[in-house]
Amino acid sequence: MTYLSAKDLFSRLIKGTISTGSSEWTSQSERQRISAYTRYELEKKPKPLSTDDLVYGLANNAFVGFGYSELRADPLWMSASSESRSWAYNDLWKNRENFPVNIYIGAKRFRRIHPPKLLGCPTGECKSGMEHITLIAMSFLSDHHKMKDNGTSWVDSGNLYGKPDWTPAHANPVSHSMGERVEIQLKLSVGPPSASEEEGIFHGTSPTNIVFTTSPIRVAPDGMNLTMSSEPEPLLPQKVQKLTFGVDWWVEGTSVQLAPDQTSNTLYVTMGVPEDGGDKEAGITHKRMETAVGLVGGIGSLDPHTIVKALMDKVPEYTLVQNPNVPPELDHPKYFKKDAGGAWPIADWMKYYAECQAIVRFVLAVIKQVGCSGDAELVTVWAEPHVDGGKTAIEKVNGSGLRNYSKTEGEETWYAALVDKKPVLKHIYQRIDNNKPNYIGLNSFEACLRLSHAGVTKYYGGGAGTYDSADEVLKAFHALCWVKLLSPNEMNQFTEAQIMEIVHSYR
Amino acid sequence: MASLDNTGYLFLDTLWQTMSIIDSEGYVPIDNLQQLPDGRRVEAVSRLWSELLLNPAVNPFHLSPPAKHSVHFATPSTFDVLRHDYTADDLRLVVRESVNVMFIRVEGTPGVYDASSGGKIHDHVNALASRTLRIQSSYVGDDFREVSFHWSFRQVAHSGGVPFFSTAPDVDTGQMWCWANRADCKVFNDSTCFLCFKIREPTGGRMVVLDSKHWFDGECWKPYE
Repeated sequence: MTYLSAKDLFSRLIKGTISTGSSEWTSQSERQRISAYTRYELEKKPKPLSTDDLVYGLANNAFVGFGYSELRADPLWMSASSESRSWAYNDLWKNRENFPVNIYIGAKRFRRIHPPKLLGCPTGECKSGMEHITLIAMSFLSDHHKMKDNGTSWVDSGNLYGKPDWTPAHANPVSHSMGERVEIQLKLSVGPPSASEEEGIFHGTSPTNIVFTTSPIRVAPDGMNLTMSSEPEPLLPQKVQKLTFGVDWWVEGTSVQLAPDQTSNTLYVTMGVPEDGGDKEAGITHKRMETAVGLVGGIGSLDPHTIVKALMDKVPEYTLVQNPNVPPELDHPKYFKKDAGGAWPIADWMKYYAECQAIVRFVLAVIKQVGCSGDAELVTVWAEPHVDGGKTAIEKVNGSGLRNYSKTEGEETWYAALVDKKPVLKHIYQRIDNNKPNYIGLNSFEACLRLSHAGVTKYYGGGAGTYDSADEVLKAFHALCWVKLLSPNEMNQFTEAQIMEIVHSYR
Repeated sequence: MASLDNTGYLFLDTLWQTMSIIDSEGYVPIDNLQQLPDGRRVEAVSRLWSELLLNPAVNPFHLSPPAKHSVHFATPSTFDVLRHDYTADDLRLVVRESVNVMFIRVEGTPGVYDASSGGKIHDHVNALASRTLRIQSSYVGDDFREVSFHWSFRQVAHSGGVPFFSTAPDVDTGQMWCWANRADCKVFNDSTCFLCFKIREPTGGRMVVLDSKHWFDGECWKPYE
């Protein structure tokens, strides 16, 4: 909701920068009268509109409406000639303390005041005047044009949305970077063929006050492709969001109006150009874009670190155990099935958590889908006994850590492990029942999303906190130890571990 | 208490023997796996591994009428085993699985090694493997990237008087990365039995060991939740 004083609105109205509001709040009959309007909720303590205000506004081709915010009824529309409605406004206004009042202000459709400027007859023989300017299609030229039309599943499938993006029969969703001008192309049909050429100025107004205007151009019979860039100000808002990008079009100066006179597309406003989100999450699709824009937009920040932190927090814990509530084909908690969308389905199953690497892959996919800036990667972090005595972290993109890191001591084989409890030298721990006091967990790495942006690097553990450095990540563990594995089960997996050496303690 | 250094690969014989003990102790029919204490997850895990290990044509969860299920509850010398009996793709199959391993026994073994015809036994094993197992697929490697594999069984030795095959006999099942790294097979007079190892890629960072005596009650997962 935009909060502006009525005078500001009028002032902006007169300057021609009033844009459309949501069309669902008006009737078809009103739409015929009002080319563009917006709904504003007056400030809590508004300055009442004075008669001067009204005259000021109404005298400048404004339509003004007032209505109850609770009621989705047509507002009371007022114009300079509708004196009979003035009393309705006044009556409403007097009682404004009893109910919220919305003000609706619309730009009166620009109507031709002067006779059309005829430029001649292209065929040399004008038999009739211009009868129609038909809007056949509209295409975005400044969008990303990367999105596939799979809007139902997480799989990277479907066809790239084709151009044009709008016809009377269809409207594609499109993605577009924020803070940019919007460039579009209208495909028009003008007829009849024998009509005189005329001069016209094409206008379009859209939400968020984005305005398209051409210079006076020749409107000639037959087909026309009209390329327009939105005015330098305002640009698309600096906000990740899903917009209904409806544009009301009209043409000034011609003997007939453009018809149809509206286009509407779902516009996903992103931070930048969407990127493929890794191996199993690669692909830009309608469903993924919808989800990513919804998640990131809901955070309300454009700071990559804030975004990543908030996304990681949506899956606050990790698990290594398959949950039966998640369809098996999704491969919870690893989410390795590329043909099921990789980690993307986590969006549907967050409450059942996931492996840390899967959480990281999911967040990476989301931020890349919206073109979030910064250098973000999945890294594994661990320490090795032979590297600075285990004090210094080792980090690697897609590394497997300490797995099978071993040495021979006499006739024994010792394995390096990062342990999750304070170890006691020579103590034998069991590895299969964490309800018993002598349980210990052996780990080979911690998976993190490493994000560098604006000179700040942080490590976001998948369900395991945020760290300022790789060395800090090691504090997720108690110590790096050499262990001897004991008591093999039927799989030759070892159910016990004896601490043979504590290489380095992190806590 | 034994360590890796003095067990060698004796555990494999022990594993096969334990399955014989379990077979002799018998199974209890079960109509619905969800009747088990942690039944929903038992079924989910079984479905997952059936997808990963078995040819879709012989997946016990894809059948109509459904496969018959039965269970063996762990005893001091055995572990929890879920058994599926069914016929699919003209093969009579008995699949027995613990939380850690899956035995796929093809009974009758049609087209089996026929010494009189001069057929090669490893051809038989590989032909049968292609009908029963997902012998060609992929897994996630230790660099988190997709790795393709294609199982091919080769005879290693005679074990317990029967021909023994493996896709990778030198791979230590206790240390291998995942199921794709090794599968075994034994050919008996009346059946051919494959052994697969239900080891997922350890991409969670934890070195996982599951207690196969506590699959049905879900206790084996507790350290990893």
